[in-house]
Amino acid sequence: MSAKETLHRWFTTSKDLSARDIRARAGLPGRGPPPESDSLWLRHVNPGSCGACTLELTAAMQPPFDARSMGVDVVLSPREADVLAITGALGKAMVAPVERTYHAMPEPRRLLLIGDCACGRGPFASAPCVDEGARRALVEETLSAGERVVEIHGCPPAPAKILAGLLWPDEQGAQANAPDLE
Amino acid sequence: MSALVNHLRSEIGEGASSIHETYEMWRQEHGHHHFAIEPRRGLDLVAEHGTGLSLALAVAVNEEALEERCRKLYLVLRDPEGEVITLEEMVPRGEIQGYARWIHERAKEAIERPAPNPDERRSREDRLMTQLFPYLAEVDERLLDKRYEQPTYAPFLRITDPALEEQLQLCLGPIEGQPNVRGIDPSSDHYQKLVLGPIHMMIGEPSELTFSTLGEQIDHLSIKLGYARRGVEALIEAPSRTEATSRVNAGFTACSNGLWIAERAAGDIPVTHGIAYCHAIEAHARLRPSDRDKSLRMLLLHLEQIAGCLRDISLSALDGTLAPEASLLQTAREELRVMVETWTHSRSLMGALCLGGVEDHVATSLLSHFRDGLPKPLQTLLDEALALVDKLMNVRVLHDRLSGVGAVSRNVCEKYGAQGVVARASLKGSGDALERLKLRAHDLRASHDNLKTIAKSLPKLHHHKTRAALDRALLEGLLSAEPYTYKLGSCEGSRGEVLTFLMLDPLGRPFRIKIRDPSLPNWPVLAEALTGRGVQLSDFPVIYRSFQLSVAGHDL
Repeated sequence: MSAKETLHRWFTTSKDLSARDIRARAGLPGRGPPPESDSLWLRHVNPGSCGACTLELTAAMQPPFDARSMGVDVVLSPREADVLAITGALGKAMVAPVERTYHAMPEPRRLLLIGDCACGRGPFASAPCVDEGARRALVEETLSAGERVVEIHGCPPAPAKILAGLLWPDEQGAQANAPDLE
Repeated sequence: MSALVNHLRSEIGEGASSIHETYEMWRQEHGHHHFAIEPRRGLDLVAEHGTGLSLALAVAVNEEALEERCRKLYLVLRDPEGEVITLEEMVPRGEIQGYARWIHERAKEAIERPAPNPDERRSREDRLMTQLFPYLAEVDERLLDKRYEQPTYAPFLRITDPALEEQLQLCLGPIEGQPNVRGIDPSSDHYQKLVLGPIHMMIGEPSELTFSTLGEQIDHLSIKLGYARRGVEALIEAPSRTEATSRVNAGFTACSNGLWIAERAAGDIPVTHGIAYCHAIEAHARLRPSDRDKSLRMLLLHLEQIAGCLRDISLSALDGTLAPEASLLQTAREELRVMVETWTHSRSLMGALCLGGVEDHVATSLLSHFRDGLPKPLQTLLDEALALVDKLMNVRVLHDRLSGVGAVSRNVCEKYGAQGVVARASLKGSGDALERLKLRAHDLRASHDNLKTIAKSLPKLHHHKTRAALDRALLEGLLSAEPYTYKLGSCEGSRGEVLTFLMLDPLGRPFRIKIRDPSLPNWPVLAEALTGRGVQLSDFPVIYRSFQLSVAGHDL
């Protein structure tokens, strides 16, 4: 493959995945409204993931999905972030670092919970080293401030589903903004 | 308990007349009422058979952590020369009633053995742990013993014992106030500490890395893990700590549930972890997967390896500023995962395995897709990826970036029992990041060739059992499995060899499990690769990525 071909294929494969394709891959019907023009900057925290959800989030950021081209990016500092993206169960040892990261974010603070473990489901929901109370407290704090909490279920969820949850959170149905706190 | 045994040993050494009296006094002093001295029948038996050993005491102890299902039996013996031997053994509660035979057998073993050294005084489990987890054992064997007492225990996080702190620092970092043996003056203005983690973009998973640097040069790296503790092993063992509703199905249900959790020990290599766990269960149940299922497992393993190789090579290309190539490889990986999802209903191959074989729907789908060799889309994808990787390996900028970076010697790898490409690179060549990349490229090609071979042989392979028959065989096997004995499951995957130690209870449920992820021995190798070698701080991301480390797989 020549360098020209390489670049051609890069542009045709990575930049070609339209919003419609992502909706289709995430199982959302038809063409939805275009994403808002505001960009979303994520601060990603992994407080005890097996790594699968983290890999899927990384895949969503890279080609062919290339979330950066849609205004979604993972940033280095919580001070720059709009959304705290959590992958994995919240282990007791990570409660303090995650809370510090959350409170370091400027308001309004939104929460993106990626994968079953982060949503308080899955195999590790009842694990002795996981602090479910702290996770719920974080969700309640966000909701009580009138901000959005998006849960993306799956073990692990596909990158398209993660992007769809970010770009069209209302269309995630019962998953979005209505976590079951019972 | 060890305090009691030590006490008794000293008493016997001084020639105490009545060991029972000594024990009673000790018990009243310390208020331990759950210990019980068993009847002295065993003494006569040992004497009868002329072992030459006199039994001073046999104590059966209820261990709270073991929930009365298993007891630890302590024997304090004295040989003819006056040497005192202490033996410890875990035995099931039911069997302890007829322990006389057991004592006789163990006493014979004790005679045949040379004089006991401190290692041999450890319980069998601890000895096994020491052999398999040399690094952990070096840090502290007490960590292993206390797992159940403190569910939140994060050994590398909260250290309260000063002696242990010192021991850890010897392994992992400098001790405050000690002179620096590497000839760097820590009092220099340019000597500073840089702490990354537990949340940091560069390290991805929760861990804390502390660099001691002199300007840009790394002097020392100290690693703290344990933040990501989820309790994988405790979860798999949990059913054995509850009362079973059905004695027939208990083992089968608990073991199947355990596979679900074991696959999620490390999300990048679920098949490797799953197969290692299945091996251990199948060894207990004396169940052998059919030839077809063995081949299908290999096929899944190679698909997982290809995805891993594409990711690693893509990251290395990014390190060499070759972003378009990295994007192409990442795209190829995504295409592969979409393909895999259509075949197995899971992008990451979780849930494809079952105990005794491969899930039926996965087997049917893979057999139909791989009937005539590799499926065409997969063949095209691999051809393009391999052509691109071949080109990459000749790019000068990548050679220049990776050559000589993060070199690890063979001695260091042997010292820590390194795994995966880290160990293989040190055996094969210079052991640097370039060598590791070459090995990943080699792995990709090898997986491609192996997939072709497997696909060719698949239609000829025999598979005679239905899923129902397989489940029945497994259920019967688990019920007849020997309880409280260890079986080892192993599987070499993308990152190295996963080992799973498994002990079943009498109902066939996982009673104790220890999963060793290949990253575990590689962490101290990373520290060694960076310590005192004049490595630039800017090289750290390249080295870190080339090691393919994961903190998730081992539940520290």
